[in-house]
Formats: sequence, C-alpha cells, structure tokens
Amino acid sequence: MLQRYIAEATGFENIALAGLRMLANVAPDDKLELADKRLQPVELPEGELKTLQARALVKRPEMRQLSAGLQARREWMLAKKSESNPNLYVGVAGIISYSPLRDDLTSVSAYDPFNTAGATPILGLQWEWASGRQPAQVAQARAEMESTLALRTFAQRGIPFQVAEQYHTVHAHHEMVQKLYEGSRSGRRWMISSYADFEAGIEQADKVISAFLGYIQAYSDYLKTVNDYNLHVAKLQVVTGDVE
Amino acid sequence: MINVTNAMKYMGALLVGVLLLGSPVAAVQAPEVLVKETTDKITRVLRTSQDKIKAEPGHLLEIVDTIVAPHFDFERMSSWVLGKYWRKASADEKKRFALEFRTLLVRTYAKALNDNFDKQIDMLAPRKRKDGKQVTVRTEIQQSAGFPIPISYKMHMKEGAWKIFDVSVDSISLVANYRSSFAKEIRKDGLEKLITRLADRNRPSKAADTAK
Repeated sequence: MLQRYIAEATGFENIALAGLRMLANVAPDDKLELADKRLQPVELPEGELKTLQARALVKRPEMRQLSAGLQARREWMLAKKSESNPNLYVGVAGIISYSPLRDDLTSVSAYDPFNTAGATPILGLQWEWASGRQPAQVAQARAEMESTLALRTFAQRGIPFQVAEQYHTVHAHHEMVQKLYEGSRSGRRWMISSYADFEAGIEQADKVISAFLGYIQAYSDYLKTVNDYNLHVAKLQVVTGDVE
Repeated sequence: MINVTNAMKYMGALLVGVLLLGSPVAAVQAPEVLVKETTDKITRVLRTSQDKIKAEPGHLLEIVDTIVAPHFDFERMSSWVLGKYWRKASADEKKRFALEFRTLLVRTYAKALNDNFDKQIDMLAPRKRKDGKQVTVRTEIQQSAGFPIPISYKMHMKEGAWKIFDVSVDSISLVANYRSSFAKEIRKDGLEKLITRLADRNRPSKAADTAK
C-alpha cells in the first residue's frame, strides 16, 4: 500500500520536475533543486464564471485561429465570386521622339517618327465565361467558409462549457482543501494531546499511534487534494486562455 | 512500517518551541524580546553541543534546565493544572507534584527541542492584554514539509520578570490539556497515584526509552 503511494508520488515528482526543467530551460540531465519543497495551495483564481467565459472567448488561441480562418475563407469566397465578372482594362499609350538634327517633315501625309509626340487612351474588356465551373468554385468556397463558421459556433458554445466545468471543479477542490486543512490540523492537535498525555504516563502507546496514523491519513488526503486543486487551477488557466 | 519510537520522535518535534526560552537577564526584557533572544541562544548552544549530548544524553536536560526552566512559572502551572485538586492537596503532595510536573515538561521538551533546533522559527506579533499584565508571545516553527507549527507562550510578570504560565502548541493549551487529563486520572485513582505515575515516567530509564 505504502509502496503504491510512493510510486505515485515519485511519478508526480518526475512529471513536475520535467515541466520545471522545460520552463527553466534546464537540460534533462542537469540537477534541479527546489528552494521551497512545501506543497501549498495556489490562490483561487479571481473572477466570476461569466467573466472567465467571456475572457476565454477572446483569449483562447482556437478563437483567434477561427477568426483569422474565417476572414481568409470570406476573402477567398469573394475572390471566387469576382471571377464571374469581366476584367476591364483601362490605360493610356503615348509616344515622344525628338531628333533636332533632322529636318522636321510637316507634310501631313508623311509619317515622321523622329520628331513627334502623342497619346491615346486604351480600353479593354475580358470576360472569361465558364458557365458550370465558376459557380461551383464559388459554392465550394462558400461551403468552406460556412464550415469554419460552424466550427466557430461550436467553439462559442463549447468553450464556455469547458470553462464552466473547470471553474466548478476548481471551486469544489478549493473547498475540499479548506475542509481537509481543518481536518488535518485537528488530527495533529489530537496527536499532540495524546502525546502529551503519553509522556505523562496516562495514555497508552496504541492510542498515540492511532492518533499519529489518523493525522498522517488526514494530512495525506490534504496533500493529494492540494495537488489536484493546483492542477485544476492550471487547467482553468488554460481553458480561459490565460496560459497557452 | 511506523514504530513507536519514530512516532514519538515526530510528535516530540511538534513541541519544540516550548523550550525556546533563554537565560535570565538582569534588566526586564519585553517578553517577545526575551523569547527571541533565548531562542537564538538555545539553538546556538544546542548546535555546538551535539557531540557532548550524543555522548552524555543527560547533558541535554542540563542545558534545558539551566536555560529554559528559570523562565517558567511552574508553581502557577502546577496549581492551574490540578485546579481544585491543588487546593485539596497537602503541602507534601503539592511539592512532589510540582517537582514531577516540572521534570515532565523539561524532559519532554528537551528531546523535542534537540530534534528541531535547526528549524526556522518566526516571531509573530505578540498579543497583549489591555492591563499589560499578561502577554501572549506567538511563534511559528517552519516545517520543510507540512504546516508551520504555531507555538504561543502565555506570560505574566512575576517577581520582576516575565514568566511563562502556559504554552499552546497548535492551539492546544498544555495546561488545559493536562488539567483535563489529570482530573480524569485523579477522579479515577487519586492524586497520589498520578504523582506516582509521573514519577515513574520521569525515571531516567523510562525517560530514555521515550527519548530514543
């Protein structure tokens, strides 16, 4: 039984150390020592559920990705739509030449490209008409946009649920931590009282051991719950988008 | 496997602060200053005396008896612990009980202190009664794992010096605890039997058993 808990605790420790190494940019083989080895509950995250849900819809990376994706899909659909319109070209063509050593021909019937200047507007029109393919491409682009829209709608419903689920889990664990803290402190007081009486010769050793075991059990439960609570707080920070 | 000896050691550690009181000084010190200075002194002495304590376990009791005991008001503690039975007791019973009770406290806490002298002890703001005649000096012993252990000393002025008349460990008043436990024992077997039990428990061989 004890070995099971030791193995479980060692597993937690290794996971936490691996995470710390990654965050601190420490090589996996380097030694890492904690300045404070106590396990303490972190602060309860501030903010009401609605505030956290609204924040998640703004800060979650999925929401940002969906917004960017939706914008791109919309632009893509508009581009495909615009392909059904004719292309209109408008321009101005001009010529200028100057050759001062040549005689200037002034005859209107003679073409003299060496001393001349002029400009003319150009107007062009191109219409690529593909009766079946083009509307299909528009429909495909629209479908892709709508699928992204559907994803966003799903996320807008799902993310608040995720936040609510994690929020209530965190608050439930927070309360459990408070209760187990009190229980653990009571266990310790019982142990102190029993020990004091034992030292005075008016309490039996087995009673002291029972008190000791009761305290250890309560304290173990407390530590495990603190660990769970801290992990749930971290998860809440992820689902609200505060931590990516 | 948890054995009795280890359990005793662990629980003894919880009572460490009780002995953190120091040598008498000529001038009247503020109670919190007295506790702080004495804490520093006793931890320093214990740190430098470990070899001798290991060689001669009785030396630990000598240190604590010299440095700590003068700051306790054992007479008041004894009378409070026995309550109405103190008034009913003969002068001889009072004397013997006070002696055994004093030994019990010194013995119990000497071992606890020796196991924990290297822990960090934080001083908290003292609580003073309005009339200034009583002060509760509060400390916390930091644990490498686990909650800090709050230890508070109730002190009053007696014969020109602050003396401790109760110690609370994690909000357990030792005087109140013993008062309740001793009253039960006295009702069951009488004061004489209680004194005998205390004396038996305080005998060096028995004390050594629990100190291991």
